Amino acid sequence: MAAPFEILLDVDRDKRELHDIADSAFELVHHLERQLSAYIPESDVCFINATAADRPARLEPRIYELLKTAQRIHRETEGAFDITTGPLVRAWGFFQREGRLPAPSELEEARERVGMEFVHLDDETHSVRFAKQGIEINLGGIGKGYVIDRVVESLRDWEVRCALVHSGQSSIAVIGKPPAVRRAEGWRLGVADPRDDKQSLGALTLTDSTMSTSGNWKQFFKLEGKIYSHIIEARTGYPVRGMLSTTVIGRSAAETDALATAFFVMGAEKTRRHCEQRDDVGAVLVTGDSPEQIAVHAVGCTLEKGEQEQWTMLGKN
Amino acid sequence: MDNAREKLTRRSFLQTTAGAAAGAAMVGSALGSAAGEAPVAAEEVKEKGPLDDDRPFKLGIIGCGSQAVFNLMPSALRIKGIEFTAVCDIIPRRAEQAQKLAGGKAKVFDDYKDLLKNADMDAVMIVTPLHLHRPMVEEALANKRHVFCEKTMAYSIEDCKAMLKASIAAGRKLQIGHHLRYHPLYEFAKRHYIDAGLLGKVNNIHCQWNRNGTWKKRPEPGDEKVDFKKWGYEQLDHVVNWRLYKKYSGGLMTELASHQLDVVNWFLDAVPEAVVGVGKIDNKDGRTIFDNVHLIYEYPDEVQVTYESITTNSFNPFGLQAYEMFQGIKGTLVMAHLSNYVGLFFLEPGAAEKDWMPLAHKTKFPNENVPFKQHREAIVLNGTPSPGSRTEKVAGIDIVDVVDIKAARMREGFTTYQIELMEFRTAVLDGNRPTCDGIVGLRSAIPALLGNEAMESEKKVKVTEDMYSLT
Repeated sequence: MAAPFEILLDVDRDKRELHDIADSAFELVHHLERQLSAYIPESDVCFINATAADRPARLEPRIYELLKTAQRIHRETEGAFDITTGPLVRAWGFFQREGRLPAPSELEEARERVGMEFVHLDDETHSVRFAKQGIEINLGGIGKGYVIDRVVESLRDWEVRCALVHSGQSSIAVIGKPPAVRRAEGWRLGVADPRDDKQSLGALTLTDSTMSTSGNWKQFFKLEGKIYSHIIEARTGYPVRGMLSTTVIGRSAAETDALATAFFVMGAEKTRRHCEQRDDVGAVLVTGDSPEQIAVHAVGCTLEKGEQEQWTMLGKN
Repeated sequence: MDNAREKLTRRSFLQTTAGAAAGAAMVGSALGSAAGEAPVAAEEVKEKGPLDDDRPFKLGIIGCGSQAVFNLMPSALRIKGIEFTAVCDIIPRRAEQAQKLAGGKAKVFDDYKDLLKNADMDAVMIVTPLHLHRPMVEEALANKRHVFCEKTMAYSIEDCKAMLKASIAAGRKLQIGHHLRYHPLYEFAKRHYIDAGLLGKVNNIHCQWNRNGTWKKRPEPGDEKVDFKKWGYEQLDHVVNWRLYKKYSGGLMTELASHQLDVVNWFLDAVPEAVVGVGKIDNKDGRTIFDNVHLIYEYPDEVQVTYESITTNSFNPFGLQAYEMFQGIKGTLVMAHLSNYVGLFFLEPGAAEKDWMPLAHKTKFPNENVPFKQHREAIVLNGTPSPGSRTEKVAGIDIVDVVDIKAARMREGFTTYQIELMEFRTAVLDGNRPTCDGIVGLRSAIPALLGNEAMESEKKVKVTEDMYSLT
């Protein structure tokens, strides 16, 4: 992955064995990256984008299930999460990491190539088909979470009872509670201040859960006096304004990863309504039009003050 | 003179092989009829298989380790019509994992003989430790099964020849998994750089696959349930780490080097004449294979090939994990299959435009406007779907041009495993000869297997006629 990927394991067993477990997990990460990356030409994502408009692209079951999950979250968030926004992201220059205001015609052209309704999934053959040319998918908003879920699954096979896994800290999963010597109720994970990653707004205490974050101050840009985020609302074709960051907790990193993007688009009110219908999802949203004036909304979870986890990493990128 | 004689002798080797194959073909072989022909240009074979071929093709797979579940099965499952109806592994966890991947429909076996006898399938894939290739392939052919067998073809040259003979006698296909033969960028480079003469006379080739990691795996949870003695292993560790022990594998030579030495064979259209080598063991954990190998091969036409693979340092000058570097008097070509469909070409000082550009123009590659002002500038062969960057440097050398290669299957994100398995279906259903059949597999096994022999004996090992002959 482009982001660092790290695994923290408790030293409750032989160190050599821990390294073997980590090695096996990183091997899995490596293989999954080769399936998911938009930058690896023979990845499943590139294969789908290159062929699905011409003929159904058939996939192995787990990647197919991931697309089903993406489709379900798209539906449940009324389109706020959308894996087809690539053409819009490109029009706004985000792939080149520079914001630019696209011409209206350019935006219109890009919008015509966006929409989950053009992505058809066939459960019988495990294949994906695009209903028209020019559609593309990007799993950047859900893939890192999926990889974390798979790693957690494999760590549980190893009977690991205490671990923390994260990918560039945008998604984190914890297994069990922190090492027993700390006598903690759970892992206290800081919610970063979107204005300064080194500061936190408070902490969430988690056990056997995942947490994902979208948005920080570096991912915004200013154009003609207005502040834009790097997250695009598929329905309007414009970057979201007024939301600075979203942090979502839940049981699956793929889902919290996707919901962090969805809630960013949905805003505080819709997010609150969404979370009320579920007992396994919570969120912390930071809203505001400028860094000077922010509001913090905790939905379905409690943001605590005080000390948070400081971890040193075991493993490698 | 010696060289000329050597070449003649080599030709007669090939004829010997061809003769034997043709002889057997008369007994009734689908494979044999094609076995002695000159190598078919890979692109012709490859493009024959139409993209919309969706004919049902039922596969069984023996050996469900990471090569199967991470590479072959996901690639096979991209191909419409292909279905896994049987999976087999002595480790139940692995067989279950493969069955899940197959959509839960496959029948699970622990004994390959049961699978070969009873499975409802069109062909079988053998993806097991090296020492098992021969017995499994022979058993499969005895059951009249078409076979795809992972590389390296077998544990010994004798084993390879036995498999080849058996496939001819059974009249069934035998394809070997040297997947780089199906790599569109390699096909492009072979055609437009090597064969077109852009490199000039190649005198030296260097291949490297350097990594930093022990290669040793720990048994995964559930593996301890395996009755390893029943399946011929001394201990559980040998089931998991078979690559580290001579009894089951040729180590780096058969598991990594054979890919690159296959490319050398292919690009030179030859097999080595002799090899010397030195090997040692850096990871002192009881392994019996060399994990630090250095070899020199002599190929016909005085081409010298140096090969190196180590396990305790991953540095390399191009920032590529593994590469094959072809050094001609006019230029250098660097191929790297692990690096996202990218190859590199460097023009050599002294290869003046008058000497080189006509060739480039004649072949239409690289593009005619390549502004080669000075030597030591690089061309990047870019096979990725997005146009390559034109501003970066590579190994500190300016990139003057990026050749965006338009190979349909590369642009469409096909994996090499996918392409080789599409060809395997065509070979089985239509009776075509696969690009990497048993003959190619045997030829490519020779440098890998003799490399080990040279390191172990500490002597120069010569390739002899009987290695090719089927008699």
